Parts: sequence; structure tokens; C-alpha cells
Amino acid sequence: MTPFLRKLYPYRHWAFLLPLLFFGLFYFYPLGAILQLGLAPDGRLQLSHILDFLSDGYFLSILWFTFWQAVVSTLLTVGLALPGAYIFARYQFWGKATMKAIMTLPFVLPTVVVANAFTALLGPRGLLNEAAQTWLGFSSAPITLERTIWMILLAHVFYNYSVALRMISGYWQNLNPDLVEAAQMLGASPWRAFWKVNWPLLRPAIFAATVLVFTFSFTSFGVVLILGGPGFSTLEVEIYRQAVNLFDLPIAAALSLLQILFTFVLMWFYTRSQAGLTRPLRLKSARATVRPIKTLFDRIMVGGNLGLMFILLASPLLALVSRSFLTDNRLTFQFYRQLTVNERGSIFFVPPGWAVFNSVAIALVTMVIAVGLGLISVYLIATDTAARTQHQNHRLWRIRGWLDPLFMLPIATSAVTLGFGYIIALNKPPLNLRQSLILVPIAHALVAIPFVIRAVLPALRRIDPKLREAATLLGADAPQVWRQIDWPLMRRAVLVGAVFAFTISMGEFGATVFIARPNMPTMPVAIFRFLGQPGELNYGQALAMSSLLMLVCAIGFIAIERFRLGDEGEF
Amino acid sequence: MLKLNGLKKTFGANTAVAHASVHLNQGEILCLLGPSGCGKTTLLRLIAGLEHPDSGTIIYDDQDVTPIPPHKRGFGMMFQDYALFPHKDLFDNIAFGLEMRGDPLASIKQRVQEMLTLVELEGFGSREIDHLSGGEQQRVALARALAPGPELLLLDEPLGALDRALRERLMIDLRTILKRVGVTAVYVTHDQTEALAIGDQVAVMNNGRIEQIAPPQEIFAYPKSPFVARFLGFHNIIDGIVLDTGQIKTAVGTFSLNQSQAQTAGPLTLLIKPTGTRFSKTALDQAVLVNILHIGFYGRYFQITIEVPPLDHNDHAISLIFETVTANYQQGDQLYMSVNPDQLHVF
Repeated sequence: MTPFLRKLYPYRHWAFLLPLLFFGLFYFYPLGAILQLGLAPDGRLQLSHILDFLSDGYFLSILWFTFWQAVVSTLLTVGLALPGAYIFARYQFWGKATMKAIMTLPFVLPTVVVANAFTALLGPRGLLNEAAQTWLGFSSAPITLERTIWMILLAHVFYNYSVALRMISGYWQNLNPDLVEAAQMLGASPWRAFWKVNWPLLRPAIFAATVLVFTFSFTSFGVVLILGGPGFSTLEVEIYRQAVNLFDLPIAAALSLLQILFTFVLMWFYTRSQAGLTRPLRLKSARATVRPIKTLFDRIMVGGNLGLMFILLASPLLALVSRSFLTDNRLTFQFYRQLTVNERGSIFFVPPGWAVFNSVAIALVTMVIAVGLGLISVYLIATDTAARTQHQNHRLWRIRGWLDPLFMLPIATSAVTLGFGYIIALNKPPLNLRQSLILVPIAHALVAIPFVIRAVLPALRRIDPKLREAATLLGADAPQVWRQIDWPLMRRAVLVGAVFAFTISMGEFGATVFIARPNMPTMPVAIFRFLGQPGELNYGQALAMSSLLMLVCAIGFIAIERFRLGDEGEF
Repeated sequence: MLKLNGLKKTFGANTAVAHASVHLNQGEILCLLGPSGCGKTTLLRLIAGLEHPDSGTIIYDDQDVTPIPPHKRGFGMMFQDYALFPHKDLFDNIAFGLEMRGDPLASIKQRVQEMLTLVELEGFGSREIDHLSGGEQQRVALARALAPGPELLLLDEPLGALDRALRERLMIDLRTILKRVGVTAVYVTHDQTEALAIGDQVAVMNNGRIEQIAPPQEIFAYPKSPFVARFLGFHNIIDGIVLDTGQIKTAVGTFSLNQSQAQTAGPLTLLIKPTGTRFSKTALDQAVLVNILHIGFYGRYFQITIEVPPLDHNDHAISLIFETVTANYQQGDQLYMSVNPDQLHVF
């Protein structure tokens, strides 16, 4: 540590203000602006326009659709993920760790890419339809799922399957298998033992997964916008349409407010169910609870689930990649080559290659902001560390109880709402950042910070305070203790958080589409633009760009799995 | 009653149980004793039906139960760490087996009360499992396993999670309760004191095999192999040679044994019991000169570690451990030691 930093060390508590300030300025201030714009644009409450809209049949149908598609998506996702969670929790099989890494890829993929992958597989020009027309002699595309609810549901399952599976199997694998055996020894058949013992014990994990998947489906944006077409609209999509297409900002603000209320309620349930998961259950180390595949039942369970995962998760991604190399059933690199060419010679045209550069640069800045603020935040949140006893009397410390849920809020808040809030709040003094390049990384960092916190917090909490005491008694001062004890023990978790922040930034779409400057598109925005233009070439380029984005995310996520020590991180 | 015929179980290349055969009478307690990884828990799980044997049969009451799934065997089991259901209170844990059987509520209530009385936990019925001490959890686990009235009770290191003082007290309670109920039991442990105190029969297992099975006093007096002897806590195992005269020559003297088994000439292994020696500062008949390496005071006795020159001069010196009531000598002394031939045991 340099002498300069050492001099600053006594004032380190002021650093705790940084994340609070950041959240205040870039989360609560824009949300407050939405509130004001929606409810009282001229300083007086003006509700008639909004009430008219809210009592309209159109709005009610959107609300109803948002709700029921989320319910169906959640039931499908959790129902399909449950047997998958079982095989990952209880069996050991070849390639399990790798499969878990690859399986998690969809979760970090941008919605634009996911939507594209499904179009590439099942769309009118998709792989299956072209194959059916070429080889089976269909005169027109036999699979007409595009712009139907099925596409949306499939994409939601694809997107959230691994979240549900990870949450449930992560909990399940630490449940003591003796409990089920004890039930069997007391006369319960395997089926009854599951319902009487495993089911009630798993319920908090299943409930938490259900609430999270429901939240994601309820606030779904890219999937519904791209796969659903104009016929379908969730609240989130409607906010975007009202703000961007119809320019009715009060309505957009009112809808955002409504959505925030919904998601806050959901997050309240989520944090409550998370608390249920920390109940002491005498968990066993995962290694002691897995068994090899032996019986026919084992083979059917494992084989069936892996098959399902291949069809559900791998086939759209493979279709996306292969379709980006195909035109009229011939191999081509044209789409990739075209990414660097300005076809129409337009001066407003930004070569899509630049989007890659923009995305990477923004992601790097995001990573620095998110990791820096995230690290400060975990020290602010962590309650059971030596730091707590040291600073117990510090005034800031009293608010720590509700800081953890507070920092989680961006996960629950829709990205579109956030982007919209930035437009209306940060475009005038005192904080005029509308034209600033830093706005996009700030928005991304806000979304990424909860993930950094979730990755680092368990590692920090696991550090035995006695280690710090031992180091102190061996002559280390406070900065040296941090350097010698905390940092080495948290380093991997911080790295995991950093990669999370990077991939989230690479794929973020909902907020970016609002605030990115037209001449500085990111990869997801560029993909969205290609899709908005007609023609085979634009479609092909969207696929090529999606494949590139997927590649970047895949590299990032495989890196996460390599750094992961045991089950570091809570996602 | 319980008959195990040539049970075998392998996990991949690893043989957990190799050809285990056991015969256990009604009401008897069999202790399976052995180091970790010897296959004792696997053998217990085979009897329970939680594992399926590669070959061999399990006969209970003249009926082959090998193909019957665990929940239909009607055996009770007490798990290591107890496996109490954390989402149920004490009453519901004990009632679980009765509910599975479909007993009416009134009789469940009565039976649970009986069980609570048996394990001396009356009035604890509505306690949460988390709020019980280790010893109380152990008793709940026993009550839960006994509640459906199993004819055979399987216990997997039921005292392993407790500290030493509590273990010694509960050891006696446990045997008393098992005997009062009259249940046949198979009890897995790695603690020889526990096995000898609780078992009517003790089986010592090594590498998936049952090395010896006998009543506690018998197995303690006549361990069949050096492994069994070591596992029962004996230290002094030495080599000897049977001479043409029938006498046995060892590093601690030459002895004529009046044991029934006639020894053929050649090398053998014997055990000197820890109390089988006399020490003296003056030369005794049949005595060897030994160095005292260490004297430890253990309250009721002294433990003396000595060193004797080996029989074969190429070997290392042999160190042996004995117990004496008095010890008026100290570390580094040279003493004469004579061994009582009655305290020798030939394998």
C-alpha cells in the first residue's frame, strides 16, 4: 500500500458513502423522476389521463397477458427443471461440471440473442422449416410458431431453466440423503418419502426459484418484443412502446410505477424465501450425497433429462450458429464479412464492427465500476465479520440491516424502466449526462452490482474472523490484514463477480436501447437494428452478430466456472 | 433369525463387503466393529435394503428378504447423525413410521407417548428438532426407530456424534432400552469399548471381511488375528519361533505353552497382554534386560513403554507397552522383565 493510501486509510468509512451515493443518483433519483412525471408532470397531481388509460380494456388485456404468460412460463420452467435439478443434485456422471457450465450459458445470453436463436431454429426461415421444405417436400414452412405465444413460452423456459435448475439443485445436493432413507426405513415408499421429506424441505428453494423466474418472465422485454411481434405486449414492452413509439411519457411513467410496485412485492417474497433457505438443516457436503448411475431408472432419469436439455437449450444455439453460416443451404461467410461494410454509404451508418468495440469498452468500464462499488458494498452489508465489532458504534452501521435488499433492487426493476428514468432525469441540470459516454456503463453497473455482491458476499462471510485476529497478533496493521487475509481469500470470488459484470454489460439491452447514443450502438442494439430492417442480408448479419456475442458470453461464462471454487456465489 | 449368507457388495473396483456370513439369534445384539472403510456400514445398509448385494442372501425369520425394498422390510434404523426430519417437531418425527403404516391418530398418540416415556423425554413432544441437545436428538432417533415396533433394529454409529463422557453414559442406557424392548439389533461402531459393552456378539471387520465373530469376553480373551487384537486395543504383538522342543522362543524369553493347539516348528505371532509382566531391578528367573523408554501415569495404573533387543539382530528394537499398579523406577532405567506365560496368546 502506498503512503498516500495509508494516509487515507483512517477516512475509509467515507468510502461507504460511494455506493449509497451511486444508488441515490442513478437509481432512486431517476425512479423518482418517473414518479413525478407520471403522476404530477406540472407539480400537481394529474391522474385523469392515466386513469383513463388504466381503466381501458387495452391496458387490462396487457396486464392480464403479462400475468398469465408469466404464470405459464414459470410453471413450465420449474416443472421441467425439477427433474433436471434432481439428476444434478444426486448423480455423478461424466462431464457433469462442464455441462453445468454450458447449461448456464443461456442465462447470461442477451434476450436479443435468445430471441434470434429461436427464430433461427423455428422461424419461417429457420433451420427446421428450411430442412422440412428441402428434404420433406413441404411447399410452405410447416412450423408456424413465429409470433405465437409458444415461441415466447419456449424462450422463457430456455432463458430461465438453468436459473431454476441451479437454485434447486444447489440446495438439493446439500440435503442429507439419510433423511429419505430414514423415511424409507420407517415404511415410506420412495414416492411417499419424496413427498413427505424432500418436498417440504425443498419447498423454500423451489419457491425462491419460482418467484425469481416469475419476476424475470413478468418483466420480459426482448423476448416478447422480438419473438412476439406487435400482437403481444407485456407491461415492460408497453412501457417501451408508449415512451418510444407513441411518445406518451406520462403513461409510460405510470406503467413503470405499476411495474416497480409489482416487482417490489415479488422481491419481498423472494428475500423472505431466501431467509428460509438459511435455516440450519445440517447440510452435507455435496460430494457425500451423489451416487453413480446404476439402475435402469437411473439411466432413464439422467438420459431423459440430458436429452431434454439438449433439445431445449443446445439446439436453438446450434441453430443460431449454423444458420449464420448458411445461405440457400450453402456455406457462407458473407454475413460475417458484411459486418464491416457500409452497404449504402450512409454517413449515419456505423459499421457494425464498431459495435463490438463499443460493447467491449463499455463492458470493461462497467466491470471496474461494478467491482469497485460492489466490494465496498459487501463490507457495508457483511454483518458477521470482524469489521462489525470494530465499527459497531459507527453511525452508518445502523442502516446495514436493510442495505442488502436495497442493493438487490436493480435485479427486480425492469431495465426499460431504468433506461426511461435516465432519459427523463439525467438530461437536465444539475445532472446532465444525456450526452455523456459514461451513462451506459453506469446503467450497466447498476444492473451488475447485485450480481457482484451475490458472488463476493459469501466468500467474505466465510472468512474466519480468527484469521484476522491471528494476523493482527502477528504484527499486521489493518491495511496489511486486508492485503494478506481478506484479499487472497476473496480474490476468486471477486473475479467471478467481475466476469459476471462483464457479460451482463455485453448483453444488456433493455436500458441500453434507451440511452445508447445512435452513433454508439452496442452489439445487442446493433442486432436489434438489423432485425428491424428487411432482407436476407440484414437477418444473416443479425445472426452473425448474435453468434459473436454468444461466443464472448460463452468465453466469459466458462471462465467463471473455472474460477469458481466449490459453490461460490449464490446464483 | 437373521442369517446372512455370503453377502458381497462392490462399488466399482472397490470391494466393500466380501462374502460376509452371520447368524444372529432373536433378541441378540450384534456389534459390527472395524476401522472406517472396513465395510461395516455397507453391510448394515445391505441388511436394511438401502443397498442391494451383488451376491448372497439375507434371511430373516426363514424368509428371503433380499429382493424386498427397504420400506417393506419392517426393520428399524438409527442413522449416524440421526437424520431427524428438520421440518417436523419431535412428536411428528416419532409418529412418522406409524403414519406410514396408516395407524389411527389415537393409537399414534398413545404409542408416541410410550416412546417418549421409554427414552425419558416426556413432555418434549412439541419441541423443534433444532432446539434439542445432541443427547436428546440421539434419544429421539432411537424412539423414532423403535416406534413402529421393528423386529430388527439397525444402528449406524448412534453414539459417534457425542462427546466421550455422554457416550459412556448413553452406552449403558442404550443397551438397557434395547434389552427391555427385546429387539434384535445390529450395531455398527468403530469404538471397541462401545462394541464390548453393548454387543452380545462382536464381529470385527477388516477390508470387507468378518475376521472374527464371538461374544465380547471370548473375542477379548482370544482374538483370532493380530488385526483383531490391535483393533481391540492390544499393542504388544511380537514374532516368535517354535523350536523343535515345542517351546516358543521370543525376544522376551522362551516359553512352554500349555495351550491346546499344538504348534508346528516355524515362525508365529503372539500377543502379550498388557498386564502380563513383572519388573524387577534384580535378575529374575527367565527374565530379559529391558530399557524403560517412558512412564505415563493414567490414574488407576502406570503405562510403561519399554524396549527389548530383537530376536534377529538385523531387526529394529521392539517397543512394548505394559500396565503396572506401581512404578518406582524412571525413564532411562534398565530393568529385568519376566513374562507370565498365561498372559501370552498365540494367533
